[in-house]
Amino acid sequence: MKMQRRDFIKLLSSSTTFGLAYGYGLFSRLPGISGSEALAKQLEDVSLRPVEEKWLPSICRQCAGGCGVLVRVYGERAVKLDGNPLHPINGGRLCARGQAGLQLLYNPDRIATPLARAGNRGEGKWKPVSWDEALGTVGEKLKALRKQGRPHELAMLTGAQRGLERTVSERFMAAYGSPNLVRYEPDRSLGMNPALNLMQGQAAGFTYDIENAAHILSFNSALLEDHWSPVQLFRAYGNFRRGRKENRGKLVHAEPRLSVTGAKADEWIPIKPGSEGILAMGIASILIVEKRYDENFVTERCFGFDDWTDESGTLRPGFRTLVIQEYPMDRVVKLTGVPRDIIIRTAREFARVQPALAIGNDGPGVRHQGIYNRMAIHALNALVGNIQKPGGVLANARPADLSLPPVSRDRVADQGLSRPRLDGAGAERYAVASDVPASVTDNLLEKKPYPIEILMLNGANPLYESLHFERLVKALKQIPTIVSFSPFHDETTQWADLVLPDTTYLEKWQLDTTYTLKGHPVVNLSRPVLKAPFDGRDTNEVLLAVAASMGKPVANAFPSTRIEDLAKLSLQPLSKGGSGEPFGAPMEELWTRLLEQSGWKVRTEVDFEKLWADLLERGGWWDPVYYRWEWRRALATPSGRFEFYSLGARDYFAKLTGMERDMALQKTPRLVNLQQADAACLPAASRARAGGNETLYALEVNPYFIPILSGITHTNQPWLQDVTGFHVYQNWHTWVEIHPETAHQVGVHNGDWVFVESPGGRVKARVRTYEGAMPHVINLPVGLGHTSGGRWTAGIGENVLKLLQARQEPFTGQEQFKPARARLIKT
Amino acid sequence: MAKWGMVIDLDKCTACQACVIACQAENNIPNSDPEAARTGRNIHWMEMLPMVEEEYPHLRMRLMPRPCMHCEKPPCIKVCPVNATQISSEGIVGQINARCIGCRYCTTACPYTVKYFNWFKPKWPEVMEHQLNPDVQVRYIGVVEKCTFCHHRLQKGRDLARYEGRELGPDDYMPACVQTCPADAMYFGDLDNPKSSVAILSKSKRAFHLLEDLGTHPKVTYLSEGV
Repeated sequence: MKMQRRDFIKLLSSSTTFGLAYGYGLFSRLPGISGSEALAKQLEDVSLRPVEEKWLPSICRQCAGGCGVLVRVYGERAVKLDGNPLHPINGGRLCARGQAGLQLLYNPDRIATPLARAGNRGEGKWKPVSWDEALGTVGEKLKALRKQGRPHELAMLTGAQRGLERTVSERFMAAYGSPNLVRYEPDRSLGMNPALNLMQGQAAGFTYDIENAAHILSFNSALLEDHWSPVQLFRAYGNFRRGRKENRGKLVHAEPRLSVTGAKADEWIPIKPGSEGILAMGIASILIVEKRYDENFVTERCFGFDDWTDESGTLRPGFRTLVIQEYPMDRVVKLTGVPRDIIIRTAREFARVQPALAIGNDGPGVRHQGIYNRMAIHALNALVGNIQKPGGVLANARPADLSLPPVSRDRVADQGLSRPRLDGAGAERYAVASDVPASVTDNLLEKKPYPIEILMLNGANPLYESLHFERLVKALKQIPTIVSFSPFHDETTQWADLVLPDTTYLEKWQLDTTYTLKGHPVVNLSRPVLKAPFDGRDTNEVLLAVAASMGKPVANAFPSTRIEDLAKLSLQPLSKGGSGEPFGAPMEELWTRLLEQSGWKVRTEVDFEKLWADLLERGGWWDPVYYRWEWRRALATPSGRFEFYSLGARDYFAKLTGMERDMALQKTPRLVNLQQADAACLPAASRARAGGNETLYALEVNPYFIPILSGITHTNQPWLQDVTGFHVYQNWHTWVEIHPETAHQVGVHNGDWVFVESPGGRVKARVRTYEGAMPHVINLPVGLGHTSGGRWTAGIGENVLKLLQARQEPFTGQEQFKPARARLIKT
Repeated sequence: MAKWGMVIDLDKCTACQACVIACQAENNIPNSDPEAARTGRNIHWMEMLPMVEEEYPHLRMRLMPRPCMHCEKPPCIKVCPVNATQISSEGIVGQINARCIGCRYCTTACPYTVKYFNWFKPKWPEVMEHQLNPDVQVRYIGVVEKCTFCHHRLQKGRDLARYEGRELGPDDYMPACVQTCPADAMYFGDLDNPKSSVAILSKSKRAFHLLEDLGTHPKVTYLSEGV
């Protein structure tokens, strides 16, 4: 790959250059042309005095993808974002959300100053206060609570934080003495990991090498719509299709609706909502019966394929028995609605064209594929032996350890930390879960295990995401003090007593580890590029300041009061001379790889200040060398093999006692022939029955996440809102996609406004007949319907989550959506 | 003299709309709102066109990014009474705002509907004016606007080349949509240069043009999906 001209220009201009303003036609400068103040202002700006123009590196954080951006800073303002050509994740490209980042920075609805509640809770009346006053109030409240020996009664709900941000929150809470740091949104980059962990062991995460795959079988994966790192996925997809001389990659996609991924796929298989796991088992049964699986891999590297005897001498069923006994073809056909010949053809093709990947739902935008269905889908990858191969499933390489020295704690902190967590994570039923947001509402309401005195909202907006809206509001009302750090007036912030507005990502420091789709660890470093005209402060700096104001021992949480110093401290290990290097041009990368793989790379310590300057200029650090043969890393299970029968799951259930065990087992799928204890450890795919009377609610609901809003917390961005439903020409409201035939049957027409009613609730939507909808299944977009948060998002559309009900997943405790039934009522 | 053209490979395109938003950001296109969208008066120089063919369950949906086609024989310039829209010697169909009288003949004449009339006074909340691109003029109420292939970038590229004392190279000039395309599905360059990627790709057997039978000779070529 040669370095392109455009890359070169950007490199050139990252060092300061002087630019002149161009592009103004001669006529536009003539006086007397009026019409827009913006134009008039612009004309003022155009005087031919030189304006300093720079391209500064930063990290895009509209979603969790971790792309590097270059910000075009013209004088004092940011005027454009583009990809950082040196960045290994996006290589100079940016997606729609990344391009819209400036609408977040310069958003007129950002909270301009700290606010204190002036009216009743939830009324939305505020009075501005100074930062000193606001920080004083928070500091005093925290001090008082700690003095009373109740530090555990502080809780902090965070968004999908990572990296330095996470470190700051963790250290603050640890030094203060509260175990209640709850991640309310799952880290999107984890994707299918919880399922993969059961079969391949705990690792630094897994990835799919899409670029080198020859065949992809997607089980409602929303690959092109809701992936955790869209730009690198798109890049890989382009290469998957046309990057190789011959051998164009083929994509087969099973989903209830014709989505963007379905439209781009070579074949779209309409499938009943929630039955993807069963289709995977149908395909597995063809592979097994026709002996089309990779026998070598299955015998050498897998466990639990055939029946096996445990320590007590009992015969345990293996994967083959599960598939043959539980998923006869007739049942698969009936449950999935996919014709037999299509299943057989798909299975044969999957086995024939290698390397082939089976991918389940990777983005938690709409969470419906439970852990067992995901295991069933992942089992196909092992059946064709596509683990740790080019174009296969890869375990991420371990990154350098960037953690800071542990926090020194006093007795109060130790006592507080020894208390059980608010969400129950880490104990009993949720022994393997790190955060259980689903139990927060109930526990807050019932004051279990103790009441919460102060709640901090740091990047989380539980009221929008929660499926128990009213109960959560009730719970919030019971909490004496709520502090929100949101830069926007989102739903939950409405219930706060104090708002300390955060800045957006271009205005603050961050250090964050993420991965490429080939398993290379990437460390992103970004610094404040500029400041928007709002009096917001980086929440991390606020936490540092609060800790400092509380004096020792809480102040000891941070070795410095500047966030920049923390970043520097964390990065120290990188200068010690391990593998990896700052981002560089593609040529440098190849060179490093060559040297390292042939054993010629000399690892020397480098001067830290030089490294730091390099990292700031290039945007970060990565390790371009990946070893596929490290099986111990890829298969870190109790048996050291790929486990069709998860011994990790068995251990987990074995450790539970009595009631807890029964309750956990109840959440696992029920099978016809096999025992519950075995079903709980095998990829027992199932399709939950949709709640609701079938005659009254004749239609099945299939919620899907709006691609353009996927991963975004603050959706008050008009560019994005204008293209939400481009595939059906809908925007700025909620629509319901319905098959024309079904529309005729239920008596609605294109363009009608209807209420979609499920046993759980109702939303107003516009009917859009769509050939790409399955008969009797209606599709509704998730991501709209905020009740506050800014002029381009509040009151736009409806929150479709209202229609759904939740069930809790065993192991992770994540909330999962149950299929719902609904009917349409004309307005 | 160069002849600028674009190739869009629909097999690589993921319909992610990065090009759509990059265009809005680069060209100071006014914000939309529900009212503008309802009446079809929102402006998108680059837009994603969905086309559904055949019937369930064997239907196909084609999603096509649609910029201005920069036709060699543009129907829009023939109807303009004041010469406000013209084709340059390098094949770029431009719009001169100061001449435009807002008659909207060209918006009707264009078979691709890529010409947009400014029905509203373009307005940005004060703080959002910070992000306006200094290289591109904001338009005013009552004039027509359209995709310019980011012509201001050509001017800049040419100036840089002149400053460095060399010819304009093949990668000196690239519209914002092409630059950002994550899947690398868009190509841009000189169609008259037989070695350029656009010249080679536009002769591919997958190549087709939108509404080519109208005789407009579009300079945007699509490459169809599939082998």
